Amino acid sequence: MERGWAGEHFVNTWTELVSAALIGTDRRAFVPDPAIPPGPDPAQALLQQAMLATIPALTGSEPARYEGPLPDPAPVDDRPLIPRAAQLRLRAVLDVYPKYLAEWLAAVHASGCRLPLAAMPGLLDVGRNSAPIRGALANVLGVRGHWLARQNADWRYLLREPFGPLRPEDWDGPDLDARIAYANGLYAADPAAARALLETAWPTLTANLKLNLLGLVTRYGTKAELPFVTGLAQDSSKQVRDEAHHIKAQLEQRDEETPELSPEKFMADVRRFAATKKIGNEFYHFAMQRARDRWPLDGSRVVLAALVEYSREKPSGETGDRAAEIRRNRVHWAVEQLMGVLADCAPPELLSDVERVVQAQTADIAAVVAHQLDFGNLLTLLDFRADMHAELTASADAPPGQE
Amino acid sequence: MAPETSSGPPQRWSVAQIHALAPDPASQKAGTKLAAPGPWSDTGASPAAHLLWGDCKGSGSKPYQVTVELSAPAFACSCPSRKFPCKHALGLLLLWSAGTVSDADALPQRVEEWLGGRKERTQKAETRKAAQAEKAAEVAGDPEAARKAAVAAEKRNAQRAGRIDAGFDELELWLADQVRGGLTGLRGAGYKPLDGLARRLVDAQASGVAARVKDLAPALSAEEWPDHTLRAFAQLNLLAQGWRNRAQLPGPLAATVRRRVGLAPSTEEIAATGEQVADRWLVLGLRDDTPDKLVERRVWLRGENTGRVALLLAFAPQGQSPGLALPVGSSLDARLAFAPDAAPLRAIVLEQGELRSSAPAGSVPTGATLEDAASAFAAAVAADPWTTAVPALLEAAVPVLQQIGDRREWRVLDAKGSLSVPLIRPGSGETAMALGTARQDPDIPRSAYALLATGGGRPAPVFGIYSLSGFAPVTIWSVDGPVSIS
Repeated sequence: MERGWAGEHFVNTWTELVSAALIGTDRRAFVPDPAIPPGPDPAQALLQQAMLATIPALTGSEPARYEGPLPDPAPVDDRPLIPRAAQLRLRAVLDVYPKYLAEWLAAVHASGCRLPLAAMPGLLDVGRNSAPIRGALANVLGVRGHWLARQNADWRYLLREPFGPLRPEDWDGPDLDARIAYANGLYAADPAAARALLETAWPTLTANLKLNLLGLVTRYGTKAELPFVTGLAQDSSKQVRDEAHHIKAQLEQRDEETPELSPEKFMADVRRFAATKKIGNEFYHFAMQRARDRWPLDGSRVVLAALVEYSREKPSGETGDRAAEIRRNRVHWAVEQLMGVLADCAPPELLSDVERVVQAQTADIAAVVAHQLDFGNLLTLLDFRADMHAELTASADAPPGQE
Repeated sequence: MAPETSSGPPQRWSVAQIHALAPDPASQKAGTKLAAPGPWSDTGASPAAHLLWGDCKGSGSKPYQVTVELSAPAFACSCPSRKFPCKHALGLLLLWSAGTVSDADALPQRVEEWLGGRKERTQKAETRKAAQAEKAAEVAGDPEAARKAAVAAEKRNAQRAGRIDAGFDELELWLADQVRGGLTGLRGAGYKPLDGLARRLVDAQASGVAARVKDLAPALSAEEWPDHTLRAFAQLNLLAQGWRNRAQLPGPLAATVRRRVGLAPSTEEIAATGEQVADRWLVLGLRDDTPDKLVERRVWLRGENTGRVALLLAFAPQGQSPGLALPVGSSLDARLAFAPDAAPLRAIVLEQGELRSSAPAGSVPTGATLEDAASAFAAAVAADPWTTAVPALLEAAVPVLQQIGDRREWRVLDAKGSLSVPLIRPGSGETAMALGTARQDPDIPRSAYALLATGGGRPAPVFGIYSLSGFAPVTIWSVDGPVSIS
């Protein structure tokens, strides 16, 4: 605690002034510095002296010296930036249609471009609560995203997603997250190989790693995992035994293999539903089962045609029959949901078909022909999806005047 | 202000410029949603007439008719929204910016009518202004009326000064009472007596002092409250003395006292008496704050030739755009007038020319070190003892987590000098920066990660606010160009 300020003149230090003020000049006499002009009021003198004494504090405390090396900088990501329109589109997707985020990220990845750096923290936060986007996110954010995720415990999940080609050395190395990422990538590419890897390596793994890998089994596993999981009832770790028991019950509900969406099978199924002219709950359930897949164009066209046909049907006019009315309402709800699933799963190329439907519908309405469905929303959604894909394949040349 | 020269067809506006026009983020979002061809029909543009129009399907049965005149810019939309520009206008602008609005030779009738109506209104406003000027000239010409007007204005100012005098008298008395009785009594008694005083000061339009008086209470709960309180008391006491003796102070310092009390000069005063500087100004940063349903926009500029830093301010009620749509990193030819002050910073735009969007990629402004910022801060305090923060552009800043005492804290490291200060947020406000409570803002990691994501952990130029509590970043220059830190 140095005396005074500028070395020489003041009698009281700052701390002495604070004490004097805390106690009060009425209670304990305060002797101001001779440099302060004399006055009748010691309180006023204290305040004036305090102003001068506090100048060093007002100019800020000494910055701390930083010892040690700078932290490792991010690796360079030399992919080109997505076009300006696509950067804008990200905002629209996040704010208005977050359900299309996974699709958009996959399209960005396919385009080989990278996102604006400023977008990374926001997306990493979204991925924390939204597991379905994590795979696409890891690929899109690339090496720099990986680097960033390592700096924040909340974003650690990204380190367990694979991106780029699988590196067997990751499995052999000490990094837990890298090992999980490897197994994750292997499961996505070749489930049989992944199963084999887990079975062989199991006895050498720590309980913590085992639990994390079981998370992958839950995510990717099918009935084919059952023998392995059943065997875990003998595992040395209680937590692993409990978790395995849990997973076993889930796996028993699943099919032998995740059904691949073959366009032919889809078409056949869709035709079957459409042919019975019973568009309704069964069709809707079928669509919901396929809600995570990309539908083929011809199959989507059949669904669209079935919707149009339903829309043109006059609702049968029995007003008295309450039960029939309830049935009709249920069917109508299911059909509207079906239209929603079509909007999300159909290829954006369906847009031109929907445009024609909307034009025809407008003409019908003008001719006072009633419709049960409004295809306008379907049009808006497909339009959005078509644009968001188009922007990512657009040429990089922007007209002059744009940033 | 229109981001193009007045001659020739308009350059397409960039997305950043259009977004800067939006009155709030919700409008930006809504405008983006409408930037799809789906809801639009009959769109067109007339580059020669600087016009843009279109019909947008809305929730009603009739589509909303939207018109934009690019030179003013002026917006018209038949939707019921009170926001200005509304989301439909923003959507149309975005569509045009993306090149999806085709040029038309002829204007639709409704656009012609709107143009006609606008011309009429502008003419009316001009005749009204002319009439007012004539009246003023009459008064000026008429010595009796002029004298009367001057006397009335004198009287008003004197009354106001009198109210402020009374406020300060009361305040000085109260401050001295606390010091006589001892500050320990404050924690029990609190600041209730000051509520009335603060109100009276607000009524006297001494909003600056009123705010400082109101801020005395939060200082009580800060760490080291006796130090903060005595400091605040001493500064208020000095301000009271400055006000009382303002006639004897040098001009710039008297102007500072008036500003700190709450009597800011009007734009006319600044235009008439302020120091004028013409230069090409780089937009260093832009921030919007929304206290009390107002939008306060701050834009910091730095003259490329003079090196002067200027702060532009604009206000608007929530829902309206405050103007000053200047994208960060762009550069503006302009003549500014600085408000007279002991440490001049606030300025207004007198004339402006071309706005150039970002300079070619790779061009970044040169900055300075933390020590330079600290020196600039000390110089500002020497000129204006009530300074809490100064703008600063660091050349090589990088965010780091550093062990300080018993905890780890996010700090801004100046890679050139190996010094670091706490990382804080500009939104914390001047009071928090003065008290040090800005260091406890729970959103600090958000700013840190924004810097990390864009800077990649490499030292980069960062513009921000340097204060007692630390450095608050506003803009970082990255490989993606200048990025605003939210």
